[in-house]
Amino acid sequence: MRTWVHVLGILGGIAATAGFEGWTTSSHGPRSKAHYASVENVSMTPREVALAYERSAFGQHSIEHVAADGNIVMVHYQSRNDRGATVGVDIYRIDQRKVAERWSISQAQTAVPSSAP
Amino acid sequence: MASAAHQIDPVATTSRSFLIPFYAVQFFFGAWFLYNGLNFFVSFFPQPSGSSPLSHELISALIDSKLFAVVKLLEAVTGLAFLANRFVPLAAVLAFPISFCIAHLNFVANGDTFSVITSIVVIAFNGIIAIGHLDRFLPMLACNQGDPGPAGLRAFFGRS
Repeated sequence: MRTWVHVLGILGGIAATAGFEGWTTSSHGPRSKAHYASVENVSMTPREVALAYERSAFGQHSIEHVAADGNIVMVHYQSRNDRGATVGVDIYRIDQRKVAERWSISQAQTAVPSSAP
Repeated sequence: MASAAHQIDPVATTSRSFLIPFYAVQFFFGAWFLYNGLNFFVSFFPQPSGSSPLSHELISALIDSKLFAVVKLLEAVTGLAFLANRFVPLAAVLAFPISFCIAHLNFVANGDTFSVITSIVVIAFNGIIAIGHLDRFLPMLACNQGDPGPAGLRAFFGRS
């Protein structure tokens, strides 16, 4: 293959791909941002819903562990404010990708003794 | 009577009309793979997270397990090979599992018109590139392959 034909082929391939991807991902295309957003919205697992709620409502929480069993999700967190540190567990029941119920258990964090008596 | 200088060489004509569609497919497919492969690492456009809940879950699992990075690297490398017009038969073979997964996911998990067309096109294009180099694959299609031997190793390292 001649060099100029090869270069023309590469440029043509890139241009065709850029045009095709540009159209598909545009607001009028079949793979627009709105399309992917709608897929993500209906695809969120109970774990993702609980974590999204936890992060939006309690941004100061440092999430330590997450456990999910079906539509029940447990989030173990630590939090620190002016009055000290808190540890807790939030338990969520997720229904139809929404938080249906939430139980919260928390207590002030206490120092662990360095050695047993 | 036409002179010999004006006669069209049938072999040359067939060859060119044969080459153009094959190269067109190869360069488009190469750019497509390179673009989508690199997009995972440099983000030309927002990384698709799947076009249905099922494919969203699968792609999320692939991303979390880091397997998606391997797939995308392979996609970019094969795309580069198609564009560079080097190692094309090998790239066609390496790209096929990716093409199959793209086609299967689009056809089975998504199922909308655009996804079905995409699944047909990706398999067809990968197949066309492979058919263009079918002579390279014919030895693999032997039913009775005989005993294993050192001939391949000798040929690979340039020893007769």
